[in-house]
Amino acid sequence: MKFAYYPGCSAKSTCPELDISMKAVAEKLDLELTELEVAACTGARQLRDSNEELFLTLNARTLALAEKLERNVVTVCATCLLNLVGVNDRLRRDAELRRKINRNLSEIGLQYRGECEVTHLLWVLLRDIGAEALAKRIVRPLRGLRVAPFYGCHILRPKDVLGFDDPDSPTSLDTLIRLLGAEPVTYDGKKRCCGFHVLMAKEDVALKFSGRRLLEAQEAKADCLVTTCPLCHTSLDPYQSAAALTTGAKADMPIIHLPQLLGLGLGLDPRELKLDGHVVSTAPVLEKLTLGA
Amino acid sequence: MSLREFVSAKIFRYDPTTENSPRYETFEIPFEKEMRVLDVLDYAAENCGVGVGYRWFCGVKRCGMCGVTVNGKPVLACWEKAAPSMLIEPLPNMPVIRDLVVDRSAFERSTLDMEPCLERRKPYETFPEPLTHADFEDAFKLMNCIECYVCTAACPVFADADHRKFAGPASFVQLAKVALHPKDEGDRVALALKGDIYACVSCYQCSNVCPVGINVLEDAIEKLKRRCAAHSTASLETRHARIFSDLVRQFGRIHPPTLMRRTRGLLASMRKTFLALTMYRRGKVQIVPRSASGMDEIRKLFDVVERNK
Repeated sequence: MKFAYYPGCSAKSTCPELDISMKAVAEKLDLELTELEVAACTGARQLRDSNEELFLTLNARTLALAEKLERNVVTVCATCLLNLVGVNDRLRRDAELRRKINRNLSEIGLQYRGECEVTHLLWVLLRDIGAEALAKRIVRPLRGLRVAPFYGCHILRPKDVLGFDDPDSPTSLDTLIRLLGAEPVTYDGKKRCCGFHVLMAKEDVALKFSGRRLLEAQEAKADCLVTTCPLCHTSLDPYQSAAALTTGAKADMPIIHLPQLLGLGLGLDPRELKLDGHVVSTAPVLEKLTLGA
Repeated sequence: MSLREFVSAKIFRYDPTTENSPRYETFEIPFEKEMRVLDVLDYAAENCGVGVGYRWFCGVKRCGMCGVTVNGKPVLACWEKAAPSMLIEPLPNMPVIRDLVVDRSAFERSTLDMEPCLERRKPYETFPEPLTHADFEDAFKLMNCIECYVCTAACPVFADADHRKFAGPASFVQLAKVALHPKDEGDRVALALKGDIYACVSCYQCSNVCPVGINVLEDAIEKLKRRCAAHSTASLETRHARIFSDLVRQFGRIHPPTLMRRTRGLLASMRKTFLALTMYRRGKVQIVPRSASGMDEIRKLFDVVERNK
């Protein structure tokens, strides 16, 4: 399987371990990634909240770049996923809008015909590779590990645009955790918000969100929490001690990126997955799996 | 005789005038085809002899009065299908009058604060005024809102007692309805900021629960935020959006330390020195921003969009 890989800004700055582990598992799973190095930021919420035409144009460019490569886009960031899927959906449905945005793209010699699909690593694993085929690749079952699945808002909602999982009772990440031989814990916070999108401008609001998610995962006796989005990871890992203060949670919950957890199951070395690149130590997880250094 | 199917409904009961705390009562109710939550409540009230309190009027998703929480999700009782096992509770964050009936006045006050009435300052140039469907499209989408406040009940920011300044999604829909009206001349940006619109975390819970299918976040809140970004430089948040956009123009992508420094200022950012150092040691901070390649194209597109304005 071949993809145009869109890592997003976070995987290239705050969460390099996500980019590194994604590339490592892709190689292991024979996913051929061509990185879209020239693509711009998808605009997170800030750019889409302030300049719609620019938001549409920059994302249309990314889609056009992938279309030129004749590859679908895969990303590891839920917010980038929603932005790209949402723009793709609008450009496909609205021919007049597509003409308008293509007029902008023509200034840099690009056109988007609407033939590219956008997907997330989690969807590739379950929809394209499939549970059965994936299960055969698991050489190191993560037995006994209690994992809190943390979906992230923008991989679930809005459902009519994303459509992969049920936002009210999502199961995909739980399924994946089970496939890896670990145990998904049940807790209320798994489909809720980490607060990231107001972290810069309204830190007090954001920290309470992540603080509550940490507390919920701890109360469910999770050994670690797994994220599908580096933005959730940032709220929950580097900001963990500040977040924990808001709810009285303990600040010792390892936060693991999806490709890192997957990589452990695929038999990769924790160092290849850069599990030492987090603020909150992941050592307790590795010890539990008897992979400790 | 075939076995009859039953619905198990665990219903929140509370009369604050006589009881110290809420309790739950479970009813086994015979299942009927196409049964809705409202039918279950009707059955419990009429046949179980306990007088469950709930509110409804039209029964067809128009009056917006029958909001309840079913298995943790705010819904309209008249529209939601009955599930085999249901926990039925009042809408959250509102004082309970009795059982499932809540006092909606805090919701309604919040909407009144948004002054959702069309404001005309200049005299009409002609009458009738020309108004096309296209002009009206954005506002029209929001006119389907039945003011049931299910979105506000689902909103995690509104739920936070420390952020009562936050107007909540339903009230922003009412504000956007007039703000997006082509003939409105009111100062909607000031009202949106007064309602603390930038505390919205963009989680889409509001869009997810809307019974009439309004994408509350994208069709109301986001459009109001765009208005704020275009017309206000007063708040930290609108400045933040501008700084974000400038960074994308400069580097193609976001360099988080620069974003923080420019948004909060050097002094306030210094308070994050310890966090920054910890992150730096783990390889999570790049001192110098790295540009995406293809910057010429990215900047060109910024210019093209600017020119189109």
